[in-house]
Amino acid sequence: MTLRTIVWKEIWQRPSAVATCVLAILLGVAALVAIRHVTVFAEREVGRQLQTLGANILVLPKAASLQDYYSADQNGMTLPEEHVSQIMLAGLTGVEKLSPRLCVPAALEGAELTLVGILPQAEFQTKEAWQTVTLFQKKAHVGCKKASCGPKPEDSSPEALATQRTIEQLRDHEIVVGADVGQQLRLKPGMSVDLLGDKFQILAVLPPTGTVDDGRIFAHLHIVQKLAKSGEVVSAIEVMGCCEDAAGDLVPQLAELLPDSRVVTISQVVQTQVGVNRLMARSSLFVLVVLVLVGGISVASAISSNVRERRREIGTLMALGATPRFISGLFLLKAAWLGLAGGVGGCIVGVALAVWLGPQWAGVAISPLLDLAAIATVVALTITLLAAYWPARQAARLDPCTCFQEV
Amino acid sequence: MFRLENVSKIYSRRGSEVRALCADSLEIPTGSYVAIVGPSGSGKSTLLSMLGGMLSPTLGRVWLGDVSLYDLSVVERARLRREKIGFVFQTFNLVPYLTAVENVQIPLCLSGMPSDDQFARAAALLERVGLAERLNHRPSELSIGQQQRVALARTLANSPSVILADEPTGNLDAESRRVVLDFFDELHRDGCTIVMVTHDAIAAEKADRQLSISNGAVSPLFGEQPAKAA
Amino acid sequence: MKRNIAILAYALAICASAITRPALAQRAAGAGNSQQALAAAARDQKYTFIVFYKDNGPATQATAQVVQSGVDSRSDRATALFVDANSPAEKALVDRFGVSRAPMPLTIAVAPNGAITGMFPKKVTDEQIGNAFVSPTMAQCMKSMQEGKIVFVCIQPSASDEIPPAVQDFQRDPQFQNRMSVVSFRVTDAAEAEFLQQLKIDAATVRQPTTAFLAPPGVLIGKYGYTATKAEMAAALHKAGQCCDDPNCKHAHGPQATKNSDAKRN
Repeated sequence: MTLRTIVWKEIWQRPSAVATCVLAILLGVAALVAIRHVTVFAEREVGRQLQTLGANILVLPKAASLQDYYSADQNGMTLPEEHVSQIMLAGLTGVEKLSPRLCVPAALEGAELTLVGILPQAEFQTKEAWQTVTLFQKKAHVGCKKASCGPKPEDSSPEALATQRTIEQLRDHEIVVGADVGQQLRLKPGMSVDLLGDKFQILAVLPPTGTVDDGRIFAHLHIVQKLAKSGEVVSAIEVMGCCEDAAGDLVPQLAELLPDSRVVTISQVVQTQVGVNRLMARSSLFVLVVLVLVGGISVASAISSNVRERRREIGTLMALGATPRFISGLFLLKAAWLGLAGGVGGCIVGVALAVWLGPQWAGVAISPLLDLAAIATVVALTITLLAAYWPARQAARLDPCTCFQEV
Repeated sequence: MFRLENVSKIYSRRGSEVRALCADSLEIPTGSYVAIVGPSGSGKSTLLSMLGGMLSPTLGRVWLGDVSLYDLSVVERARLRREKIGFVFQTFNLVPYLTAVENVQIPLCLSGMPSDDQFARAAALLERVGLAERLNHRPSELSIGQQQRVALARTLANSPSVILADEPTGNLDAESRRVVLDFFDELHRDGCTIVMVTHDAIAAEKADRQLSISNGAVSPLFGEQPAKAA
Repeated sequence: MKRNIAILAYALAICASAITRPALAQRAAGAGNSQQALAAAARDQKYTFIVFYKDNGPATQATAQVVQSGVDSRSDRATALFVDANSPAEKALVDRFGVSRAPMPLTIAVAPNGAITGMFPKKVTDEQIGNAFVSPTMAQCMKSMQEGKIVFVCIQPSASDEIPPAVQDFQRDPQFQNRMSVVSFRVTDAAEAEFLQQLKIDAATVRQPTTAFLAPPGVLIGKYGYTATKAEMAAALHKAGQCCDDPNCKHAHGPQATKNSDAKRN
């Protein structure tokens, strides 16, 4: 028989009495953990996008709306392909690569998907030479200061499209298949498929990117334009800046160069997400406050009620020689276990919720963050102990003579 | 063993004072068996609480041996109760969610005895009071008499030298009453000091000395009684 | 009276466009010989101003007029060529300059050595036409850089034709020998005065061969004296892989950046 045993047996005497308490803490912790998980991963995703795409700019049709960077080219509107040449000819500082894209709907083996026409970088070779002319032009600005005589650090394999968002070489009747399409239709490099009434050979299947590109097929832009009968248009032009500094200056220059287009940066794209993340971070703070209040009040009330119910028992224990510390320990230990149960249970539920709903709420995959769960549990524990402190102290100061009170 | 010096306990309630106890000088020698008789509300429980170190007097001092009880701290008094005093309650005051053996283990737990030793001693005590087969029964699964015997076993757990009993036979039938009173006789013979508060005349006759308490005032019952022959 | 003048002006405009249209069409009729015309101009050491067009709209008409008049006023060193970018016969030329999807009308200035010295989309001015004429050395530099080569421009004082030792080291280095070119000119050459000015080199201060180091797509890596070492210049070339001073710029490469693993340019 120990203090622990007494508390444990007392809890299990009437588990329903503590269930409400535990539930209040559990729900609060679950909400807190779920929101924090989604917030953390959403912020990481934003950070990752800013890091990988931070220097990227999208040139879109004027009226295009923008929810997500990766599917920005699926806006259903187009702009002239000649804008690409205009950007190259303008010799703007900081333009490293251009990637014009045209998205058209297509079907492959009964599966509806998006066929994306992209221009391989090899076709820009001639255009890059255009920039030489600006060296000796009497113009106020110079072209990109970067000397392109060094080796490109990027991978020139077709699979590099997944990470670099450009492809070096892609012949007329070659296609590159997104990871999900490849898996779903069991497509492999070398296979031949029919798209929009023409035969194509699969050059490569991309590794998963976690973006809409996984569900797409990529072909040469001009072939797609021809097959879709769209004319010399593109859905979007992705401008890869060499760094964020240069990209920042590029935006107004591009806007001036292409007044009939909409120029957006990844920062603007993620602005909404940043706002949502900020809101979620504040929400998690709000939930914490609610947890403290509701959970704390619930625990304080439950422990106070428990003290009142057990007055005779407390008096008896004092008569038997229990110290005030022992008496308060009975209630603090009980509160600690309630807090621990609520905290651990809440973490499990919260993590499960986040893993399940995170991809739907924020479009990010979520994995459990053990340190976050640990912190949430500690917070729950602290709240319950603080809430139980006063009732426990009151119990320790009870008049022991209650043991002599007649029933 | 017990000595009360000009002790009084006064409660103030709603602007008026209530004198719950008044004992100018009261001595209860070591090894004596004292019955305190009085009607309900006469101050019996107040006196018992004061003797048990659980209720400090408004005036005066209470001595247990050469220790002034209320000059000790709360923790020291608790320790004193653990080591020297055993209580027997009218309503047994068993912890409802603990089994018989666990109830008896409580004082042993409070005194820091290891768990295994606690069980062994508790089981032995329950066997002594004839409840060897009821170790794992909860109080709700025991009869009134059995509950009182569990309470007795608990009282004896730490081998107290003083027993303070509050109406120990109040809720018992004749047979159970006899068992309890026989137990007290046995403890008395072993040298234990027993102070029993009761309004049961039969129980009171078992004691060596009978005191009367009325409106808080303690006085001998029918004058001083000669000590009973052992 | 005013009404009559307006009618007359309108009629003149109609006639002018009617005259121009056939002229453009006439030039276009000889489109199959565009490549030959280009080659002939090169032989004659003349610049060719090629106007690529897809339609005969006002922008095309205006550009054609400006180019024609600009070329006419410089007929000793320039010629004009009008190319219908939609014509299958002109596909080779269009592909050569990669202008099939360029904004039209597009005027390209081609030096006698084949270097593109100016590209003017949508419209062109006479001043731009004038600026497209560059010095022979500039034309050579642009040609080399358009071929993806690094260029060492050796500015020689009057009395010496020596190529600086560092440049010779580059020439001997297998990593660089196939992707570099060396052009030289005398500092006293009047034709290169403007180039010297562009390079911000004071002719009076050139006592020994000086090297201006250029890299595609038109970056001046640096200017080096005779005693500069290959290592110094190679380091500068490596550093030129950065496009700006941002330390987080992804082009902050390690020394291996100067190793020749770029198959694209070669």
